[in-house]
Amino acid sequence: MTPNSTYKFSFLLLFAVMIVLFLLNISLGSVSIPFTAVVNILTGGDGGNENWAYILMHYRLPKAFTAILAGSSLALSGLLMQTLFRNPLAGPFVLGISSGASLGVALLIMGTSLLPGIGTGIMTGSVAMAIAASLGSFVVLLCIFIMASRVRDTMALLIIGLMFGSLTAAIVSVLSYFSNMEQLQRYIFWSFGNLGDLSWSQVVIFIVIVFSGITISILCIKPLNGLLLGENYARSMGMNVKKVRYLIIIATSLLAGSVTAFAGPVAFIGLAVPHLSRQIFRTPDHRILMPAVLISGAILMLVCDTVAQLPFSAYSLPINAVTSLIGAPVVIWLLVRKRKLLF
Amino acid sequence: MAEKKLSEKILEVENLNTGYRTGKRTVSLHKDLRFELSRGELIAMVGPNGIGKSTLLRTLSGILPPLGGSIYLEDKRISEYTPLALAEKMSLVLTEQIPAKALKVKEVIALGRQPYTNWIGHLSKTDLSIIGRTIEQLGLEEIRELPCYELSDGQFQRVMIGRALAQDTGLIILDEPTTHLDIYHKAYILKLLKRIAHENNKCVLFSSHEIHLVNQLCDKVLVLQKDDYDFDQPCNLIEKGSYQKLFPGDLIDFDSNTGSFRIRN
Repeated sequence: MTPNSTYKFSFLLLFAVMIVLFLLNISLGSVSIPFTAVVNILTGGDGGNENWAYILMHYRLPKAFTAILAGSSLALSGLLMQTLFRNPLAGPFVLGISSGASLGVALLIMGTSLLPGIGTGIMTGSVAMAIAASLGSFVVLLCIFIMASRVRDTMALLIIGLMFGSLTAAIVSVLSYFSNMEQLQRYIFWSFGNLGDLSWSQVVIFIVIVFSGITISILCIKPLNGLLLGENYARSMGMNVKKVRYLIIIATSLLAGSVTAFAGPVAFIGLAVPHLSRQIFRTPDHRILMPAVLISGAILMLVCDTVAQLPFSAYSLPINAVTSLIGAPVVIWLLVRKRKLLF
Repeated sequence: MAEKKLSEKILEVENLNTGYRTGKRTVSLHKDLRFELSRGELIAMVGPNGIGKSTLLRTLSGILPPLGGSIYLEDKRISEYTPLALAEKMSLVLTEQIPAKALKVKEVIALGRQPYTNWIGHLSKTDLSIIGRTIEQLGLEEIRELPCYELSDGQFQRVMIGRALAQDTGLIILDEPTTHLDIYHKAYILKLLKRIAHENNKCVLFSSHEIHLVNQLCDKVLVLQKDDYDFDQPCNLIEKGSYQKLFPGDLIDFDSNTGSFRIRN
């Protein structure tokens, strides 16, 4: 299981692709800015146009960073969940993180019609939505955490997570049924996902949370590799299964939870990227897979965001739709070509 | 010197009661088990379905708490070991499949070194040489680069035994290692286990239904009957008639000349 030179080459290549895509991402958008001006602004100049500099520094750059962070953390939490639940269909949201967030946001936007006491227009800004999403995820995760200490079987935890998803979806349906068109529209727009809403200070908070999630994940690399043989073997090799289960849940909550809070429930990346990485690197070893999914997740998200902003037009597409539109065919194509679902 | 090695006690079971609790109900399976296992011995555990072989194995490996009595592994109670310390003394080969069948043979065997590797699982020179030796001893050189989904049942079982061997423990416990294998590979695996027990001076304990093979190969056999047990060398067990009591006599009979069961006409 030693990383050899082929892995190093693949990593260098992936990293270069990520940098290129990053530059491409910030060069394209509804306002066309020449590439030379982009480079000039990035290196400290003003590119000859103050508006360009403003758009780049305060809209496109934070958005590109958000895309990288969101893609990386979703991909990593997907990998963690697939290994923990020994299930190739698991994604970052199997523990009910996104459904918890949806519930929080739905309550914030649409719950006001059920509780007429609270004024409507007060708390519907993007910050309020991020807080509501975090609170919702947190409550659902707390329930999952309490369950995790009661059930001995990790598979039961997977089903409990799915059940929480159904429960919250049902509550959201009830709320939608009783809410007006404007509220419904606002909720649906949130569920489309949005990478471009973050200020620099929010990006910094995002970075801090994501890096703590990554750090915990790195500390779990060895037990994660042990889990590839199943929990019983992992335990027989000296692993504290319960502790590791908690650590993995915490890391996933930080990673997927922060993305959901800052960018909405972004679908598909978390499920697809670990599979793409396994196809590229052809190993289940987490020492290779973990950096691989971090970079690949960022790459895929940058691609999706570049497409979503529909370069050279004034329109943009919902990111959540683009991730699936691009990601699903890629995974299908890879699986059909390789004929084997590696896990 | 050789004789001293043979009598090196590794596992001691005293007045052990096995069973398990489901909800408020306690199912008691065996009472007052007493036996000693030593290094250099190949020991089989036989008994009919549902008699409690798995429960006893799970109790001995520290997964299930005993309902009474004590288990000493190298003179220390098994419950007093930390998971990591236990992993350096005892390794397991289970009946379950592994989830990540894309793991290569050498990677599965390398995972056996987990109790000894650092926080990220880096393999030292010692680890690599033990892995290499294990692959050589089990004759896995040709398949070492293959992923597990390409292996036959017999090859896969050999790999899992290799993983346990790489864990370098005095005691190896295997749960029905020969199920799903044809008669040739059953014999192959059991011969391999015997070689491991004798050449590597390890205590190898396994559960099995192949009474005819077990009698030919094992140093000692633990026969689990309903509410009773026998623990002795195979020839003594045959003489004592321990196997006759294993099953109801309406369908099969134990033939003490061949050491196997025959269909009753």
